[in-house]
Order: sequence, then structure tokens, then C-alpha cells
Amino acid sequence: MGQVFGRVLAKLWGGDKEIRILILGLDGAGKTTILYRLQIGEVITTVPTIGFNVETLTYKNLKFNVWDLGGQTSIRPYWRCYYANTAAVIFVVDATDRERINTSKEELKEMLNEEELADSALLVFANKQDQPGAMTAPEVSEALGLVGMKDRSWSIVACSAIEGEGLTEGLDWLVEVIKEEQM
Amino acid sequence: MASKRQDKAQFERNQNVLKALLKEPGNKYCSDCKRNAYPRWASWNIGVFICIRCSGIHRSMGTHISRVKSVDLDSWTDEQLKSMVRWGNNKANKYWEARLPSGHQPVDTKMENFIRTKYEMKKWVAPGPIPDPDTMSDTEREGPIEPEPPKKTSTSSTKKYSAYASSPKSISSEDYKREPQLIGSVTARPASTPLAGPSSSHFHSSNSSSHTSAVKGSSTIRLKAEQPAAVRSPPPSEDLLGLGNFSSAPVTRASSANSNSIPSAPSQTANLRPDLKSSILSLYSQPRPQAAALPQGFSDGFATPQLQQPGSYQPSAAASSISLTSSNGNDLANPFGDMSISRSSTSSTAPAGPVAPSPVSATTATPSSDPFAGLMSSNAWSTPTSTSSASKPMVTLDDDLDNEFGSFNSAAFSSTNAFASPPPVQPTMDFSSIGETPVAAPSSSSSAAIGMDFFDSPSFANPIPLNSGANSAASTPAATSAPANPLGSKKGSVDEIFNNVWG
Repeated sequence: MGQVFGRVLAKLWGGDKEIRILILGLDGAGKTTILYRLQIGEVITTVPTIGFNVETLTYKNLKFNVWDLGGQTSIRPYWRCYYANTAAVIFVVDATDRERINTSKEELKEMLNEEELADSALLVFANKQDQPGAMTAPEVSEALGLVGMKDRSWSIVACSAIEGEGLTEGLDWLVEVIKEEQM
Repeated sequence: MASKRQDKAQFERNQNVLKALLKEPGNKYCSDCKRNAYPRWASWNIGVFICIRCSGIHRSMGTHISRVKSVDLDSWTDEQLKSMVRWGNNKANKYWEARLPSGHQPVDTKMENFIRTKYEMKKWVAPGPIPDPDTMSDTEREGPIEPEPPKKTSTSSTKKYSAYASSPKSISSEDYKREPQLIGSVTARPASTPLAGPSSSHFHSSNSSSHTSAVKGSSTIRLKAEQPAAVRSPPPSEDLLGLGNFSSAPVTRASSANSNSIPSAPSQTANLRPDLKSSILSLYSQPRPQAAALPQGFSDGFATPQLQQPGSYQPSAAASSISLTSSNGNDLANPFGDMSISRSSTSSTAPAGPVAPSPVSATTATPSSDPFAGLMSSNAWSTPTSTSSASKPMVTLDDDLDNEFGSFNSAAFSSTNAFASPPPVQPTMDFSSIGETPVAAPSSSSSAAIGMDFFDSPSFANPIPLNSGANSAASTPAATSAPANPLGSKKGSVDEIFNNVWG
């Protein structure tokens, strides 16, 4: 009884529950840089992530458990090991890498077909906007085939992890969606 | 299905080419830092093999400058592979470092600066357009084509660098300006006055501002001091490592060897310098007990305990430590420090049935086994036996998750505990023992501990063949019984494989 009451209270106040977020995307898209930019507010020098990084970050009273998984070709199949109970996926795209945008699209498509992610929100970051020639958010959205997607909350935000632009905008959207779902 | 099999065949073929390329003397060390042995990463458009740490810097420059791929974790197209075959570290540096003295070794703490200067600003490239690598000889680069022109540092790019330098240890614009002076003074200075002049003071000042240990600092100075000699009398061509006159090379090697030495194969460790090539070959030719019969549906295998190979790497003290030189301190060492794996490069492709480890083939480059036998493409993750010392525990892992992710938690915590009292470390060098396998480690064990920031979780630690190992096992016995390529014909073997690829 008290347990139930506690749970209700927790829910009302956003609670102590950690919200599980995955950061996915091709290798070199900027996932790790984004994770640490969000967590410590700094640009760090990264090395390719082989495995994962996980950090807890609190944003607008919500506690996020953010998993940043390595993006090399042969470790992408292991992303699915992390799908369960994921509230949202942040999919990072290197907006300057036109050559591989199709690969991005394929990976995204495969990921979204997974049942475990059926209820997860999708935030796409079109990263590396600090570089000349980066595709805009609508361009990336088009290239990824996001436009027709109806069965899921999704959003795309142009960002630069190096300059810190667009990241909070994306998170704001995420918080909104997640709070809505908790209601 | 057919196309899948074809993909796999291509994947394996390409992997074999890469493995063969990595045996070229010029490709045995990172093309940029020249320090880390066994580079497992590559910039395929530039055509160089680099270590994991330098690969991170390459990625930060953007794909218009460098396109980074993992030798082990990425699939390669023929085009990408072709670029690697055409270039390679020696040829690439003949172009990209044409104005640097032969054997120049960049300062460990300034790698980002160095790499950006080298590829983004093209400061040291040979004049004229980028040459056709097919017309170049694949020998060690000899001295600079001409002394570096006196430098007016481009202010705009300096600005740009300081924008990147958000952490205390990143390059400052001041550091950036220094590098050219350093080089100029090294080339001009006679060997008899090693420590005089601006360059030594440069080192002192830079060392005091970074976390370089005293030992490392002094060896660095010595190294620089000897460079003029190297310039005047180029190292003999049979010097495989291109480190000819550098007394510091053994020093740095030794430091990583200490942390990784494995009692079972002392002779190889001792052998390292004189006969590096054969020791590498023997490493790969060493037969290993195999977990050949992997469960067919190996996805179920995620739950099974990782299979431990009797002959696999069991480090006593683990790779010593991490220092992310350009990140700000311990916090950032964490993401890469808590995870580890030791990789066994053959386990899933090797012949069915356990093969007893043979000490003979382990210590000599035995002619009866093919050097590539152990190099087939699939990989098995084994337990993270060698870990790096993460100075910060992975505090963010939360026990709340232990139902679904309990395994991660426990793994991460155990590695954290293991390093509650990290061994004394030598900050500058340490990354080499993390990012790439240090020389000593692989030579004395059959499974190379690669990229220590590997999955520390049992799920990832399971032997998951990148491409189903059971299927590929068939191709391996042939390779094992094939005669070895004699050391001398290594180049030929690359070409051979390459020809097979492109007909």
C-alpha cells in the first residue's frame, strides 16, 4: 500500500526513476563527444568507443541514464542488447558525411524495426554543424527517411557538439516527450 | 544467403589483406605518434595505419580530411583497401612528413597539435601535388627534402586550435607556435651540443606544464638531442623500426613492457628488438586451443560464460594505466578506462578441435605455420583480463539497473575494484599500453589485448564471432597447414593477396 503510494508520488514529481537513453549512430558521428558535452559541458578529446560509455545526467529534474554505444560496423549488432526499457534513442548523424548518410539510414531503419524500441522516442542530432558543408536538419531528415514516420515521437535537431549548439534544444524536446508519457 | 556468404568471403579476404599489410615494417607502428606498436586503426583515405588514440584525433578533424576505420571492427570495401595497399605508412609519410627529419618523433603530449599540423595545415608535405604512391618506393623515409621554411605561424589556424583547446591539457596556441621552432632547431643543431639551445628549454617548459614524469621528460630530451645525427647519417635501411639512432626507443618500449610482461614467454620479450618481425610472426602462428564448435545460434551465447582459452593472455598486473593526455584529468579517463577486453584474434576461425599450444612455435618463427593462419578475420571477445587503471570509478552505473544490466554493473565494478589502487604509472607513455597493444603483450601471448577500452561486460566479453565463427572454421585448416611465407617474401605475399582481391 505504502509502496503504491510512494510510486504514485514519485511519478507525480518526476521521481527518482532513471530514464534510460541510448546514444546511437555510425562511428565518428560524435556520440561520445555529445555525451560528455552534455554531462560535463566540455569538449573532450575522444578515442573511438569500443564498448560503451554510460553516464548519469540530470536535466530539468529528470535523471537520465545515458548509454553511448560504439558505432563501428561490427559492433552495431550489439546495440540491440541495450534496447530493453529504453525511453528514447538519440541517433547521431555526422551531417558532413554525405557518403555514409545512407548507411545511417539503414542502421536507423533496422533499429526502429526492433520491437523493444516500439515505444521509444527518437531524437536525431544532425551533428557537426560547425563544419562547412554540413547538411541541414531538413536535409538529413529527408535523407534518413524520417519524414513519413507517424508511429513514434521523433524530432531532428541540427547541432554542433564542439560548439555546444543545439544540444539543449534537443534535450528540451526529449524532456517534454518523456514527461508527457509519464503523465 | 549467397550474397551473405559472399560478403563474408570478401570480409575475410579484406581482413587478410589488412593483416598482411600490418606486417610491413613501415606499418608496425602508428604512422603519427610512431610510438604505439601494432596500430589497429587506419585512415583509409590517407592510407596510414594509426593507433587508437591518434585515430580519435583524426576523427576530430572531420571526414573531409581523414576517414578512420578500425582494422578489426569495420568492414572494408575494396576501394578503401586499395588505398591502404597503395599507400601505407612509409609512402604516406614521405609525402606528409617530407619536411621533417627522418625519424622525427612527435611529443607525446602534443599529438593533436602534431596531427592537425600534419594533415589539416599540411605543414610538412612535399611540394607539389600529392604524388602517385605507385611511383614511390616503400622504403624508410630519409631526411627532410629541405629544411623547413622559417615559420610565420598562421594566426587564423592558431585561433582555431585554441577553440578546440577547451581542456587544460589540450594544445594552447602558444604550444602550437613552438613546434615549428623545435623542429627547426633540431635540424640545425650539431649533435655535439645536444642539450643546448632553444629546443631543450622548450622541452623543459612543456614538460613542466604537462604531466610528464621526469623520466619520460629526460628521455624525450635525449631523443631530440640525437636527431641531428640521424639526419646527417640516415639510418641503415635494414632498420625496421625507423627508430635507428633513437636511444629512447628502447626506453619507451621497456616502459610498456614492464606493465605487460608475461612470465610465460620471457624469451620473446627479450627478443623484441633484434627480431621483432619474427616474434610478431610467431605470435600469429602460435596455434591455440580452439573453441571451434561455437553454438550455432550464438546469439544465445550472450548468456553463456565467456570461453576462456587456455593459451590466452592472462596478464599479471594488467596494462598499467591510462592517461588521456589531452583531456582534463581523471574524469575523462573514465569512459575509456573502465572497459577492457583482451582479444584473441583467431579463436573463432581456427581449426576445429583444440590444438595444444606449442611452445616451439611460440618462441620461434616457425616455418611450418602460416603467418596468416592466426589472422583470420573473426574475433572473439574474451574476458577483459587486462585492464587499464581508471582513476575514477564508473560511479554512474547504478544498481537500480541490475535486473537488466546487472552484468554490466558487476563487470564495471569489478574492474574498478581491481584498480582501486592503481599501479604507479608513467603518464605520458601509458596510453600506448591502452590504445594499442604494447609490444610486450602480444609477443608473449597468443591473444593480443587490444584497445583496452573494450567491453567490460560479460555480454560483450562473450566470444561473439563477428561473422559466425563456425562457418568460417572450414577455411582455416587449409591456412594452417600452408607453408609459411618466408620473412623475406612478405611484400610478395601482400601483393599476392592483393592480386587475388582485385584479380
